[in-house]
Amino acid sequence: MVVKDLEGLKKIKNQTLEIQSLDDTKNRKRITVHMGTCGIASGAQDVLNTFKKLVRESKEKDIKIETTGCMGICSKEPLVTVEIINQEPIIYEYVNNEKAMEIFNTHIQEGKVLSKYAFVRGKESEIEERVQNNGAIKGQEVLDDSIKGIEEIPFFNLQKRIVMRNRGAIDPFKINDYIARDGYEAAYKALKEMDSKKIIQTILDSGLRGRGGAGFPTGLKWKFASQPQSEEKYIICNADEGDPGAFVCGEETALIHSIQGQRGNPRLKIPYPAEKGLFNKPTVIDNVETLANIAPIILKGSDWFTKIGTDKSKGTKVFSITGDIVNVGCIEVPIGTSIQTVIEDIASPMEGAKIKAVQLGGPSGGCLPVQYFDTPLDYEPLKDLGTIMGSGGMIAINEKKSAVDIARFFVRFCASESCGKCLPCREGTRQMVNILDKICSGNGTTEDINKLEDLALVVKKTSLCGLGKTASNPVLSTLQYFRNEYEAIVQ
Amino acid sequence: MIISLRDISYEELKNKLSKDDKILLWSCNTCIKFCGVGGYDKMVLLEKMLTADGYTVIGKELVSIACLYSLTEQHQQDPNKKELFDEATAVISLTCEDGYETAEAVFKDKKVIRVVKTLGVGNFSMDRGPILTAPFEWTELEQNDQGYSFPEVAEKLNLYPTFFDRNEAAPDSTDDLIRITINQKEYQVKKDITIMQACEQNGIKIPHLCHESDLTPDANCRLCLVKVKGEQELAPACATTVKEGMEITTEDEELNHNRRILLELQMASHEHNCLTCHKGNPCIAGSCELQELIREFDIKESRYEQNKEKYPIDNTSPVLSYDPNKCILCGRCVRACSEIACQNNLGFINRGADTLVAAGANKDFDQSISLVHCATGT
Repeated sequence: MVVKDLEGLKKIKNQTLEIQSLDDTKNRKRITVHMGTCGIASGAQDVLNTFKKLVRESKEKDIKIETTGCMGICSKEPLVTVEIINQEPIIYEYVNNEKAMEIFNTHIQEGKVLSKYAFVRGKESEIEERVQNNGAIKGQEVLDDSIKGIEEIPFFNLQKRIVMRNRGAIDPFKINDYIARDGYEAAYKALKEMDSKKIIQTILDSGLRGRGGAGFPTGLKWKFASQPQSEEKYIICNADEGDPGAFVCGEETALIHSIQGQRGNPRLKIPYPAEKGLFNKPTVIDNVETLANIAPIILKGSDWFTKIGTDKSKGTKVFSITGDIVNVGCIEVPIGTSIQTVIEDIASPMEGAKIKAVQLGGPSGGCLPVQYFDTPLDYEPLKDLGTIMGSGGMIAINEKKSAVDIARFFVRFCASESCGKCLPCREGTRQMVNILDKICSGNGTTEDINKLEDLALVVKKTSLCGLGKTASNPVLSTLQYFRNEYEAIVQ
Repeated sequence: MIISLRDISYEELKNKLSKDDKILLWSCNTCIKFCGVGGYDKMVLLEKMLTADGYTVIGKELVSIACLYSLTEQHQQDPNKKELFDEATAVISLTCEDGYETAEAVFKDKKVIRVVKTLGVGNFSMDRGPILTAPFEWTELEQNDQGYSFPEVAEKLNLYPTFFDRNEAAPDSTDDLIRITINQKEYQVKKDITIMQACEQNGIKIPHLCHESDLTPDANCRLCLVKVKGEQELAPACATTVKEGMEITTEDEELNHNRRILLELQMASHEHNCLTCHKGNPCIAGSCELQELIREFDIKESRYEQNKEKYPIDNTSPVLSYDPNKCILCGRCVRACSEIACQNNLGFINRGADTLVAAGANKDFDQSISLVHCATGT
């Protein structure tokens, strides 16, 4: 299928919307199984198979089964959305084979909602519309208002979806699903209506900063790479900055090496990749989340984007929230949202113990204690406190956990992920683990704490790449805020 | 080894070049180096002379054995150097005549300039330097066990016994000098050199293990980190270019503390028995730069836990024994293998503290030699 113009794109969009809609002539009912990695890990594949079998056996022709990716709230998986024409969609949580059968018999076939298994009413992609209409969608019958509307749940209503605007709404394997939600319209606009200068200026004006860690202005990076003359230039989408994974390959020069088929070791940053990057050509390396912001900015304009976020940092940030909380998952909030809002309202702490700290920015981030929870989630304020936004890892830690143990866990991770190229990271992380092992086993001394702090500082100052420079953060931040816990367990 | 002597004067060399030429210096790291007419240092010297006289030298390429056609071709086809080789219009071949002919065959479209005359076979003596023992027939010299020293041969055959003399060229231009401050003292140095080079030229020593002048800087040992005023992070002297007005501190309490910690980490990494090992003794063949630094910093023991894990020693090569327990992973052998020998036989395997140097497909060293570059004489 070749799309030549905007009309072609719109045609696919309308055809897909037509197929997707429920009506009396073709499909009256739809079962959507959320098949993100989290869903599959929780048994979504079995649930999907069960529904398929039930539909087949029922011989009903008007039931459609769809799949989508993760809905964001991974701890509730497997999640299943049931829609019947002219009725409000119901999302069921913790679905298993038995529940699937019951849902099929009672809800799909008899039209009665099973409120005991229901999570919420309504779809995430329709939250704004629901809010405008007092918690309902026109033309949809509300079956059971004892179930909460999705817009009433803080987990959903405190989020702002730009990057993840399509989650739960499209099947990532179907390109038409994306086109139906304005996919590629920005690409069309950029190619046909804008030149390179204008695109770069739009991104500069939007104030978008890199989401991989340091927060370098994306437009500026693009501008640098646009300057050198070269027949070939590359854009690399860095989707390797997750924690864990081939951790060090998230470092941009290491990533270039691995694309070139070489060992994924970082090199000195000069020459910058914008000058000499992949195969020695000018290269832009952007984090996947950064790039996901581009299409909406091109479509809606930089002014729209600058209204979201803080003075210095515009837009939203995706966080992966986990730890001692109820709502484990993936969230997107405006930059500047406080840690408090995320932990207390969105994540909701587990009962039984208070949250005492949050580990931000992944394994090489830092641990921030509860007294700083009013800090806005933004590059500079977090950096000032010795932690980073990084790739958006956020782990809530309650009072039952030892800060020393946490530091050891993360340094161990960094030691095993070190590429081994530079001496301070290669040997320094190993020795930090050794000292932390000694302290955790109860054989440590005050001298060991000082030795650890000294080593952590040297590793931070002398390591070659970002991994080594931040590998000490868990140690340094726990020493800064929870030194008493170290002192309590040494002799 | 093959014996070659310089055949042309500096004037004659200049006459073969034009000021528009983009010159590539091409040399070999084997016999010619010991004849004093080739190798990395000589390329540096000639580059200086030609530059001072207004010629444009765009690059220097050192080949491990330049008379091998396949190896020369491999260098020429190295994608990382393609641009440099494409740009060059003249190649000055600081190699034996065999190496010159090879270069001429490979760089067909370029002017390749021969500098030496190859005279036969000889060896290197401790007292007389290189000597010619088996001269070619055309030299009309008789073969004898004593051999002919270079001054003798030069006189008999009307050749030059030594390399070009720096004084034959104009003095270094002062146009491209910049002012920098090192440890609160001002110096004038050439622009575009590294902090490490600027310091070496002025007698200031910066500790380092992974750096060697004929290899690309890798900055992995982190010992040469220095302070540059205005920069937030410490800069590796081996890989940072000097800039006008730069203020550099190469030594202070903090920097030396970092270096001491790094050296102690290195000592604890494996069984670096630096306090008793004989490798660093200059009276015994081989020398260990790590041990030298450990002595310089007066380190008596490492404060860190000794790693007790022992790797087996690889004795599969007929000419070397590789002891990973002594290896500091500076990567000099790996870079030399790739950059000078153009072989990419050596590489790193595993990661983190388990990293090792390995040859071929994670096998052993039976086919690889890169030992001249070893920092610890492993």
